[in-house]
Formats: sequence, C-alpha cells, structure tokens
Amino acid sequence: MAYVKKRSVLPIYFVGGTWLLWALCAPLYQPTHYLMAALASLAAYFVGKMIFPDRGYELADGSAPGPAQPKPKEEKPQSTGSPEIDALLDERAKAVSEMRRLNDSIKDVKISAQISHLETTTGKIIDAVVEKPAKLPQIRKFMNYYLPTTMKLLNAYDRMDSTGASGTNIDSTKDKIEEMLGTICVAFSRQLDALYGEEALDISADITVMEQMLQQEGIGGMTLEGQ
Amino acid sequence: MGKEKTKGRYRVLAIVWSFAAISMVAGVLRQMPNVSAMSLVILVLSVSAAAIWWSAYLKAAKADNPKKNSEEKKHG
Repeated sequence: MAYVKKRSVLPIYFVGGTWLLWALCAPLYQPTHYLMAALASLAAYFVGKMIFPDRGYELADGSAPGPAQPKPKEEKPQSTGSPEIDALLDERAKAVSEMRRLNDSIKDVKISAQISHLETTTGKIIDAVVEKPAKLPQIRKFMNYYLPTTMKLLNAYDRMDSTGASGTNIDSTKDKIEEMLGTICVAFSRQLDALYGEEALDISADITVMEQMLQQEGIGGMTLEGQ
Repeated sequence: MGKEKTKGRYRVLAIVWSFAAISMVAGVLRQMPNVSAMSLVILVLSVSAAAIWWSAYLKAAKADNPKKNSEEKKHG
C-alpha cells in the first residue's frame, strides 16, 4: 500500500504574510524587532499548520484521502508467485495513484466524476484478473493500449487546464478529450462486463438445467400456498 | 514528477522571499530618512534571495517544457 503525503504550503505563506504585516504595522529597524517578527511568524506558521494540516493519501485500495498521519514503514507488496500478476498489481497501484493525482488537480466536476469512475472500474478489472489469472489475455489490449492512452489524454488535459489560458488549440483539445472521456468510461465498463461473460454463460446454463430438472420432477413453476 | 516537485518548491521559496523583500522595502520606507545600515543590508539580502529563487523557478519551468519554449522561439 503506497502512502503519499501532500504538504500544505499555506503555513509557509503565512510566515511571509506575517513579516509583511509586521513591516507595515510595527517597527522593524532593531535586532529585537526582527527577533519579535521572527517569533510572530513562527507562531503564524504553527497556527497555519493547525488550520491547514498536511494531507495524506493511501493508495492502491479504495480508502478516501484522510488527515495527515505518520508515514508508515514502506513495505514491498507481497509477491503472488506469478510475475505477471505482480506486474499487474504494480500497474494497478500506479494507475490508481496517477488517476487520484489527476482527479485532485483537475477542477472540472464532470471530468472529476469520470476519472473517479475510471479509477473504480480499472481497479475492478484488475482485481477480477488477479482473482482469475486465466482472464489475463482478455485485458492485454486494455493494459497495453487503452489504459496508457487514457492516462496520456488525462495528463494532457491536466497540463492544458493548469495553464489557465484559453485558445483555439487548448479549447478544442480539451473539448475533444472531454468528449472522448465519456466513450472511455463506457468502454471500461464494457471491458469489466466482458470479463464476466464466461461466468454469465455458465450460470445461464446452470439455470436452464435446473429449470428442466424441476420441470421433469414436476416441482417446477409451483408457488407455495398462502403466497 | 520530481521536476514538478522541485519547481513547486522553488515557487514557494520565491513567493516567501518576495514577501520578505517587500516587507523590508516597507520597513525601510517607514524608517526614512533615518535608515539603519542593518536594514539596508537585510533589504539587499532579501531582494537577492527572492531574485535567486525566482530565476531558479523560471529555469526549472523552462527545463520542464522545452518543446513549448522552442515553439515560442520559432514564432517569436
């Protein structure tokens, strides 16, 4: 489980702000004045730390970002015994953490919701394969093309969005990515659904056989008295 | 990712030192006309520090996006 700590910069800005306020309102020409300003800024820093604490994120599972916690000792994920599954789990952790970073960075509510959907679906797809490694060939294209390309598009959107600028290239590219994200969400959901195709077929066959047996025994299609 | 982090740190330091430099300018202006040498030294140091951090930030930003810069040069 990876742990990312995002340090809050506001307390540091509080220090600068305190010095500025001090210079404007109080004398600043003797060593004692500087010392007092330094103490005031130190106090402002700690107050800032209390108001805006560092944020911590636990990655690779579904937990939501919580308040700052001490960084746990880094542990290497346990090997599953299969190098392919280990690589898949590694990819999962990377993709999920990158999607969370992009989700935090991109302010658009709709895009954010779509990224959350992609994050959940990607996790479920990989979990399904980890549970049944025989399904691995089914997600090869997803892992080798669809997922990296989606990350590339999201990163491009984030870069363009963070410029805060508007122009023909930026706006049209962002619009295209927004449009494409809807399609990608549907495609990811279908990929997850396809992983359960075989299971659905088996269950459907079981249901048919059971129905036939019940019919043969003469106990099918009956309802209990009083119902 | 690492470059992005360094760039962010440079920006924070540049902003904080700019605050310090502005504070010193305000302090010196308020002392006028009896400005102490110590205030002047601190003013020069804080302005220099702010300038150093801003140039480091700009350098990091340039290194982070060389493609964009080369295109800008082409058009400029």
